[in-house]
Amino acid sequence: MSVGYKSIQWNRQKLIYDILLWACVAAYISIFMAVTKGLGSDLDIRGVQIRAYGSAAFVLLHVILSIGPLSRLSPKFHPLLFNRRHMGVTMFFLALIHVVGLDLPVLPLKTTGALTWYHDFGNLDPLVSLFVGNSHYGDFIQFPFEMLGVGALAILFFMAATSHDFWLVNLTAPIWKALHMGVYLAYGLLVGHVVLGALQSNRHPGLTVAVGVGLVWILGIHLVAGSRELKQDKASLSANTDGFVAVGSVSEIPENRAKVVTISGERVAVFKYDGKISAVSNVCQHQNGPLGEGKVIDGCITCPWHGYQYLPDCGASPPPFSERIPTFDVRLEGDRIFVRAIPHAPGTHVDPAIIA
Amino acid sequence: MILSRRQVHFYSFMGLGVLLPIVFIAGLALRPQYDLKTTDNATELFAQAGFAGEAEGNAISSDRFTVARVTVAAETLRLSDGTVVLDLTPAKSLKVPDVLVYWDAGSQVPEAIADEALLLGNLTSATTRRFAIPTEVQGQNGQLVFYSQAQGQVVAAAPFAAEMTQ
Repeated sequence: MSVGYKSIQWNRQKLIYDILLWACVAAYISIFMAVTKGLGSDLDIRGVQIRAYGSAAFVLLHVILSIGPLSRLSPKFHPLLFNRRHMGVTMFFLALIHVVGLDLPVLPLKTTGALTWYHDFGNLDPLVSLFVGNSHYGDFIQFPFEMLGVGALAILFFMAATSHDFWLVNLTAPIWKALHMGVYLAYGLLVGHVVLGALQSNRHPGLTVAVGVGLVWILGIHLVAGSRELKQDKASLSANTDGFVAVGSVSEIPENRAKVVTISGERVAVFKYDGKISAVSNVCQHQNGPLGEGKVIDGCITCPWHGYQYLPDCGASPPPFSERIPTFDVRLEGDRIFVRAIPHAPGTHVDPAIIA
Repeated sequence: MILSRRQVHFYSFMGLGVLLPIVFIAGLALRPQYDLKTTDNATELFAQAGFAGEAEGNAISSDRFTVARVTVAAETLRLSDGTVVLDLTPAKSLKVPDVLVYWDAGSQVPEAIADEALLLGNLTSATTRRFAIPTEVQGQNGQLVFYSQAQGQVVAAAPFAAEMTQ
């Protein structure tokens, strides 16, 4: 299935990834607290903590949302994808601390949450106050921005709770991916939450510029990456009368690498390895990662996202793993490669074309 | 991602690309000028609202009773200016809305607030609230009556002995 990959246990890469992630989060919160206290001595530390955790979650969401399109634009960012789900779960917990605070007996660190800070000064229970305190639903500028945050937090909770491979395997990657695209809605809700919340009372131009730059960045890279993908999809090749499609030449594919082409709307990865050519679906069974951007390692096509592996001639993961992807008939005419437009069932053996 | 997901991604961001800049610009253009209170003013407002401040006095007595199944700690103090105050601290938020605290000369739980009862103030959340005890009440036996203004009924009453204020 993968190169040194274990689906459940921690491994060295995950530990390094998470240690770096949590160190960065801790550094951000510490610096935020120190700088804010340095700027205003009359600020209440509890209010600063709420902003520190809230902004940490928002910044981390920007990082998370940047990884996908950046890795589409350049393979240098693929390593960041490896454990992106832990980033998402960390982001959810930062957002949760922003709301309810942190007071666990096992942790020396204690913080106040926005729920207590803004909603525990009346007769009502803070949670009730949160939902009934502001009912200006028909007014744009007075809209209860807290509800936008609640909606985003609910989506982030759902995503964190279903982030494990257990759900990925049982829901199947296309459904899991579709559900986890809810993060785009969560991002939109959180931008509204910040614009109608923090930016209303905090008029510091630095905050306004930071939110604006973050918005332009996220929208920009997603639209650039998305339009590139769409353009590639539109360049779909069609089959000749014999059902085969000319996809290019042998010389243009580096050894142990692939050329990705779009045939009838879906992508096919055409690999060159050991003097042979094989074509398989470009979609990894794990998270639908782009197999054609990976390479052949130890005789197996290796997904660049999480290292899932498939044998090029049959599209099956080596034993004991059971993942399978569709395969395609391949034919060579001189240097030119032809791939049959209709795929075989996942895991079907297809004789590779031998390079003369 | 498969083709349909790529399309969902692109068109989702097309939508967000139109909506979010409008929200951002409108949110900045329409934001009102709020008259924010300074810390000093806030402290003053909190004191006026009866939240116990940092001023301490000499403890007179203390007691503990139950209001709507929540334990409430009571402590009386004599401040440096001679004022006698009562600090009430619920162990957790009261599940009864708009609770007003009265001093009443009786000893039985009343069905309604008597005309002679003295309003001390309102009790909210789990925060310590401070009530000034009028001089005419000090040294007298009576009771504290907890009345829910929203429900229009007495929710609890607790003895308030003369020793608490002298």
